[in-house]
Amino acid sequence: MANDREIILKVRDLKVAFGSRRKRFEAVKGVSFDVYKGETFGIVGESGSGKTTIGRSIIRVYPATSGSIKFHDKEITGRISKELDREITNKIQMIFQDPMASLNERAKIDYIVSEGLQGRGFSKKEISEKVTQALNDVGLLPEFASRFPHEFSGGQRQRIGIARALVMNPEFIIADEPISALDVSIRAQVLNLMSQLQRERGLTYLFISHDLSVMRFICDRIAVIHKGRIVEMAETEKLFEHPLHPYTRALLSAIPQPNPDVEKNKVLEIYDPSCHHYDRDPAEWTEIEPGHHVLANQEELAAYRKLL
Amino acid sequence: MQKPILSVRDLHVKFKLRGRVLHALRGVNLDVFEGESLAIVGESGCGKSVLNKNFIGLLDQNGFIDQGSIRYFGMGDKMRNHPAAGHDQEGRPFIDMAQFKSNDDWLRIRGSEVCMIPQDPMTSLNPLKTIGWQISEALELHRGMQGKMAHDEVIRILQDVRIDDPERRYKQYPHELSGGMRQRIVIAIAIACQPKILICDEPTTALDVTIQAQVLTLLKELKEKYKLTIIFITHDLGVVANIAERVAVMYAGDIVELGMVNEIFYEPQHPYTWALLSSLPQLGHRGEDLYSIKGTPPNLFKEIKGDAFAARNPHALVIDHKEQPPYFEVSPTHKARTWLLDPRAPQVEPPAALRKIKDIGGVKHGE
Ligand SMILES: Nc1ncnc2c1ncn2[C@@H]1O[C@H](COP(=O)(O)OP(=O)(O)OP(=O)(O)O)[C@@H](O)[C@H]1O
Ligand SMILES: Nc1ncnc2c1ncn2[C@@H]1O[C@H](COP(=O)(O)OP(=O)(O)OP(=O)(O)O)[C@@H](O)[C@H]1O
Ligand SMILES: [Mg+2]
Ligand SMILES: [Mg+2]
Repeated sequence: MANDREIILKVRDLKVAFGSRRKRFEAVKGVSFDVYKGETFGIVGESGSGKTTIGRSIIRVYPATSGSIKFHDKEITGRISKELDREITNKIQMIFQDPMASLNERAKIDYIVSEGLQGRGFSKKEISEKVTQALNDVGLLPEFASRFPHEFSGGQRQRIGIARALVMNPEFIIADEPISALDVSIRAQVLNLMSQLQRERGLTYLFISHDLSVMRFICDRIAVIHKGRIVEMAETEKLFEHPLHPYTRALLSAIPQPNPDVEKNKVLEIYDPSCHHYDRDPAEWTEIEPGHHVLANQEELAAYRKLL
Repeated sequence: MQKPILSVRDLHVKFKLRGRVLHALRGVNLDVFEGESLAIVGESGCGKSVLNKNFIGLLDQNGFIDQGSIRYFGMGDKMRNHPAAGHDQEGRPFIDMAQFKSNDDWLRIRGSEVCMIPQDPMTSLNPLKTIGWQISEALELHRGMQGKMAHDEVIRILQDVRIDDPERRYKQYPHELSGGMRQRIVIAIAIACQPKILICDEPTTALDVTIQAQVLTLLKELKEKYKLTIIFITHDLGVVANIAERVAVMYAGDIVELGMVNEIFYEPQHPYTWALLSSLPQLGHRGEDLYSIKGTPPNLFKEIKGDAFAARNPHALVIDHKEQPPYFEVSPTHKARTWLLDPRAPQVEPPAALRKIKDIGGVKHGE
């Protein structure tokens, strides 16, 4: 379906490792995906599976060990020109997961939000207007601008992080758990805001979250990642209706539902990686139906096809 | 009849902020029963964390209790000679923690009696110490364990919170772990203390749903095993539905509705609770905006007149803007602070969408 759409981000066989040789740990073990312009692409997966690491390697905080990341067809891993570096810091913004740890405690909110704008030739007045607008966009009062981060509640701090990304007027936003600390109402506001900005400015999102109910609502496509590998990727409804990989099935069965009766009778599917027999029949990344990819071996593929 | 382990009466907490005063808690009344799991929900900034920080004496420096009492019954008469000790009408000994003056008082409570898993895991972990060291410290401090015994217990607790490869993790530092793992380490430290009341402030937001489900199951097991009382603060109504027996809904520094979990989800009474439930993504339609509450919460620097939610409430009555409603009892376990429950009030139906809550998570087509 989506073949004719413009690809804004192309990730191929990305690997990211930490530590030196003896203590080396590969957090991302070869992931490949495309993000289309104007869509919301979700990454969901176990804690520690490498989601944040992928985000951080896109914004070049962590170097890729191997593989390629292309933004608008230009390679952005490894050594790049100053111009390109500047371009991607402008156009790609990340909303960070841990709002407390990512905000400078000694700076006031207006400074924190405006930080990325400094030294880019904007007048003081322009900066102040942009900050006011961004705070307004995320539902914070302008008078909050002169407060310090510790004077805010958790959800308010989360929104400061979002304002800080929005103020740069980016094209591509990596939102790492942008809604996890938010209450349902503000969460609805932030999601509506994200959709609105997407419609108006054609923004593209890489949306990292654990909240599958929200992802189902907002993401066009979702990749499920487990221990540094993508195990399944599909359009959202396809994934929810025909989850194939046992890890995806486990995830979907665990979604907490706001319905006490359902929660009381909930049956969890547990994923046990030893159910695969990849030593005798190795797994391959396969497009099992148009736009629906799964990591599986021949035996599993045969079984999955029956489920479709 | 259940006995309260903690009894909060007319609690007012204020913060001094550059010459102004913010009224964060405006007369909270709450009984927490022994061995129950109580969830506290409500908009960001409504005072959930501030309320609970009072139970372990960790209010920020600029905050103070202006009025009210916090009776803790969990220690029996162990602190009977303390000036804040007393007996309630039934003769049960308590200690009024609102009267604590020194940090020494709190040292007797914190950890061994009441323990809190704070909202920001990173700030409660010491970046310079290994994971293993930090859990061992809690074991030594609160349970007198040392050496090999402590080490083995740490490994066991790490397994309890589903940390893979605990021997390797034991020697790692917080920054080497993912967000969700750090969160579980904080839970591990709290479990190590074996408190009577465990306050969980958004403990599972950083966890993926499979681990979250395991942690919730774990907390429920620990609750049974150690007769733990759990106070659970979360924005995730799915988590509330899973773990809570009772739910308190807070708005602007006050509890506006309190009831058993089924009462709150299936028969909510307060318009704020209606609004809260209406914002659920499960009730939304793809491509359309989600329901969201209009306006902003009231400014807590100013005095609030009437029902704090009135300005944002499409069903507000004239009296809502004038006088604060009392609690109206809906059932012996369910009460709400809204004039809509007054016999003189016009009949107002809850939003129709809320009827769909009973269908959420049911069998979906294609399964
Ligand atoms: N700076 C670092 N040094 C060493 N190891 C790291 C570092 N950052 C991450 N890791 C490791 O990489 C793995 C992936 O971490 P990452 O933060 O990407 O996970 P995540 O999928 O974002 O998890 P979560 O959902 O818990 O945030 C983890 O095992 C983590 O311990
Ligand atoms: N140290 C402080 N100084 C001034 N105001 C404070 C301080 N701590 C909290 N507040 C204010 O008290 C109110 C309640 O804050 P609290 O942290 O309890 O909110 P919360 O309900 O836990 O919200 P969240 O869900 O976002 O964590 C907020 O308006 C907040 O801005
Ligand atoms: Mg992460
Ligand atoms: Mg809080």
